[in-house]
Amino acid sequence: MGKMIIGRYLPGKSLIHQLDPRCKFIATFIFVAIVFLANNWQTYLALTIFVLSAVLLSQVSLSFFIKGVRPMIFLIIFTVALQMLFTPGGHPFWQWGIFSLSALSIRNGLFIFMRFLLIIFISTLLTITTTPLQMADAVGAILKPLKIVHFPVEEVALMLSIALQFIPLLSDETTKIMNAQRARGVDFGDGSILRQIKAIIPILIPLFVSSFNIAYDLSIAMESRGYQGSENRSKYRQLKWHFQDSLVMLLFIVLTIILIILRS
Amino acid sequence: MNPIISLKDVTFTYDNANKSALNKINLTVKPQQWVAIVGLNGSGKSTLAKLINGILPADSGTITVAGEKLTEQSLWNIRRKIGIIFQNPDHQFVGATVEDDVAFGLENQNMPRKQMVQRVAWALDQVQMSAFKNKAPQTLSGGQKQRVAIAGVIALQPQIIIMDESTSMLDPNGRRDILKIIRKLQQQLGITILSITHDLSEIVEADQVVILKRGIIEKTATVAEIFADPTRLTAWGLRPPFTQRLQLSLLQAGVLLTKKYQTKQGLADELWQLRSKM
Repeated sequence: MGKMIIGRYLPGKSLIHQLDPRCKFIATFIFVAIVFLANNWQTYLALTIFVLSAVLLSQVSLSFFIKGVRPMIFLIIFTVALQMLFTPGGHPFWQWGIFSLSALSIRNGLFIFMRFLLIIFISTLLTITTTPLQMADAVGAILKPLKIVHFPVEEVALMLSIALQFIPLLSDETTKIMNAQRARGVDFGDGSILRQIKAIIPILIPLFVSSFNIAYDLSIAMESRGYQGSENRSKYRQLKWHFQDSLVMLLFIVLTIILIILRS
Repeated sequence: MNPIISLKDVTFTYDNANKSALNKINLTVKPQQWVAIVGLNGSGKSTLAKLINGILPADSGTITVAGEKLTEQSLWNIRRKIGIIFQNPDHQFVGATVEDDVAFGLENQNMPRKQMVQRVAWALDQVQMSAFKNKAPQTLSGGQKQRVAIAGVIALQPQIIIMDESTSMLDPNGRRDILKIIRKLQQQLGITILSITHDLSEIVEADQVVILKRGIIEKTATVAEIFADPTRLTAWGLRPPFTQRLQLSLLQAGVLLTKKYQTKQGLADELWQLRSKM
């Protein structure tokens, strides 16, 4: 009970695990942006070397990253196929109606494929080495500038962190309700799609009711511990920006410059 | 000694209810006492706790906590003096780790981080949970969860702790642990304990027992007085202890005992004597 792992976090003590979550978040965003600078094999090679060394540093087996590609595989194949078959120009060495294949289109397809792979690998690296809680903290910290426009940053961060830790509780609750309904003869996962969808209703309604009850209990517990909104609250859990985090940021600037020089 | 909690003619009716949950309650609690509040479901026990800390507003009457009258202005000040440990340990965690959760109340007081770190360490040490400070509360056992909840409450250094059926979801070992810790805190830190409960092992700890029945105080008595009348225990929502139940059955079966026994050993001795006479 309650041992469910949320997200895909794999505990570890590698350099990547120890980086500040804010640093990892920003770095991932930068990477996703600069991937689009790459337009020849040199730039893609540079990016690939960069990502592979990051994967190596995380001490997480490559198979976890390949698993990250799996849910996206159809999207990738579809996009790559479109790119290959519909890219005009070059000397087509195969043609059938509007479809054609040329050296240029194959090259383009390959690049698109690499782009997908790199983005998936780097975002998997973020989710695998960062706990959901650290992510919530990082989101809170990164959104902080929005306070100027009166966006309730602290509330959102607290909501995120509470929501995350209530996932296991709600999943326990769901199991309990499902068992209770099974005991009354509800058959899950049997019959037509329509019947299966109908079978979900007797789970959803009690689940909603119990979520509201939990929320009510929690709000009373929070109030009696003096919670009056996020104004004037100090913070116990603190993120620490280390030298290594600045170094990673510097590395990304260098990578960007390299890409700009190498791209054609 | 001035009472730490005093209720005067306090009445409360829930919306949509045609009968008041609490009707003209008068109650005083002396500092550093352990008061048990018992009664059947719906007798108004939990409502009483929610009134004292201002979660529910009383319709009429006055509530005074540590010399301060409960009003809208004094509400947050009074909540600082009262810690509540709720029934379901899973429904009261805000922090993602044990130490985060203990710090939650301190964060609300805008305490500087340096002081918070000390307080959290102290509070966790009091309940012997320091080793678990980085664990997620969900991974703990019921008794450990309630210990963390106690730490979260005592970190705020309250004068009063209200236990709202806090041990009812625990196994006997967990319950014994929690009561031991609460007893220790009451004695060492001079905290007043208000325990709302059905459980006899929790009532036994009390200096004073308040019996609620349909929104009014039926009786205020000591533990000894309560147990002296085992026939009434069930009517108050309590299950008499084994010794009392046995004596009651013996009495109904026509076995005359020379006196009433509170302890198993005393009763056993008498039963041996009875047997040897037969």
